[in-house]
Amino acid sequence: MTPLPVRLAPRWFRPRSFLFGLGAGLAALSALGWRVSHLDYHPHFVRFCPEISPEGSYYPTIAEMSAIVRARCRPGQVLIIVGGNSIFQGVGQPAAELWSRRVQELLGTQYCVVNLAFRGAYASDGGAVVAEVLRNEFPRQIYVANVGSMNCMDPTGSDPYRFLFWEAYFKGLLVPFAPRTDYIQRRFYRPWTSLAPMVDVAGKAWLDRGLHFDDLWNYVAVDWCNTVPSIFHPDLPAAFAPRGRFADDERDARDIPFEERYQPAGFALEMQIVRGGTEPYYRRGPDGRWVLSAQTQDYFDYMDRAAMPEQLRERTLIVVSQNSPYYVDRLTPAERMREEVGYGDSVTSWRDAGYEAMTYPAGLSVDDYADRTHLTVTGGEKLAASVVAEVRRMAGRLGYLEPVPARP
Amino acid sequence: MNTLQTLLARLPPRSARWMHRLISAGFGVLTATILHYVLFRIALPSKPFIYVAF
Repeated sequence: MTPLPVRLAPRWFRPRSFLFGLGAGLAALSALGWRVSHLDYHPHFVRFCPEISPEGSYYPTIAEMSAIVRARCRPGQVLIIVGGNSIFQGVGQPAAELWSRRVQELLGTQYCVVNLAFRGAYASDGGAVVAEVLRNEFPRQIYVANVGSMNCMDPTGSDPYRFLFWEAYFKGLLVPFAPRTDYIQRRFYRPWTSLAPMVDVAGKAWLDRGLHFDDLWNYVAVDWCNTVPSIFHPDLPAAFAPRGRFADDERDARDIPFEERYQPAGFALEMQIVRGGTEPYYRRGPDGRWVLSAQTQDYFDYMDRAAMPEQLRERTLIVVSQNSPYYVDRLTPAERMREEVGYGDSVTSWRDAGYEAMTYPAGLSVDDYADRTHLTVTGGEKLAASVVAEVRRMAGRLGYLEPVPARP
Repeated sequence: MNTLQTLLARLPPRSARWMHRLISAGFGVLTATILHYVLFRIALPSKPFIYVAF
């Protein structure tokens, strides 16, 4: 007796038709992903608020960020991309009074300012990557980012935002730059320890280059239905609501009581952070002056030079952020001197590595700060005025203010 | 599945053949959509932002 054949598929199933559907479906979805990657689906974009940033488990793509820039910057305008951390992202300032909007107002229509800063990001994160990707499309471009005193620039960005760097790197969108490649080889391609994660990120970028799944499903999440849980809206129905529907509701720090901004319970910790900004890097010389250790200096110089090709460094403005005078004024005179020397040495170190660099304008008061580090609207206005002066000077030096030659 | 099979059995053979192809292709498209979405989800960073940042 012969056994009856086992049917794994129903009678109507046609493998060839199924495979055709599978292939056609993937092709159609990829084409759709490619199409939306050229769309700006953030029409009211001011900055990356938590709902559309990695804090809310949303991971923007390079194409998405580039589309945001393209939708705002007209040909002939000087593009100013703002990067850096939460200070430049504008924590403490409502969207309508964001400091980078003030920069736009002061610079006028000849310039276009786009704020691509993220909370906790390095100067080499998101904004820097997009600026480099768009280097040929927007040759008249200045990248402005902030760093803390004694912070250098990791060539691949910080852990939470490195996904953007890898996307651009493995999709071949960055300038080939040997010092950066050497750094990547030495840090990330150590056999047995970190090769598997690299295969993972490279494989993902390779697949996404053809299939455009990140762009398509990000678009769906912003415009149609969010499918990735966010800590900001964990409950139904908001959990599935399109992310584009949530307004940027950053509070105005001026409305927050002073004791909440400068909490007495956190005073000791904040002082420790302020001191820690410079303490590990300095020692006192025989004449009593603070001297930056040669090792630190060499390390910063190496990292900052490897972070960006020279032609991009000269159009990058690094702003060294300062702590609120509320804390700085409570340091001992020696610590205070070290803090001042730290800002100065940071600016010098960036300039030596080929960047433009500056620090905050003099005269920022406690009220200009939302807390130890973030700025209020008034602080943002003062910062904007001093950044605008520097941007104008750079634009003149780089020849951006000359008329655009007419196309033949 | 049985209902679908019964419905298809009622169709003339030629129409049934086309319906078989169409439904199979439809399942192919559905599988493609799931695969595309799964690729997106597995490519997301596995650790929540807060654990990476701090």
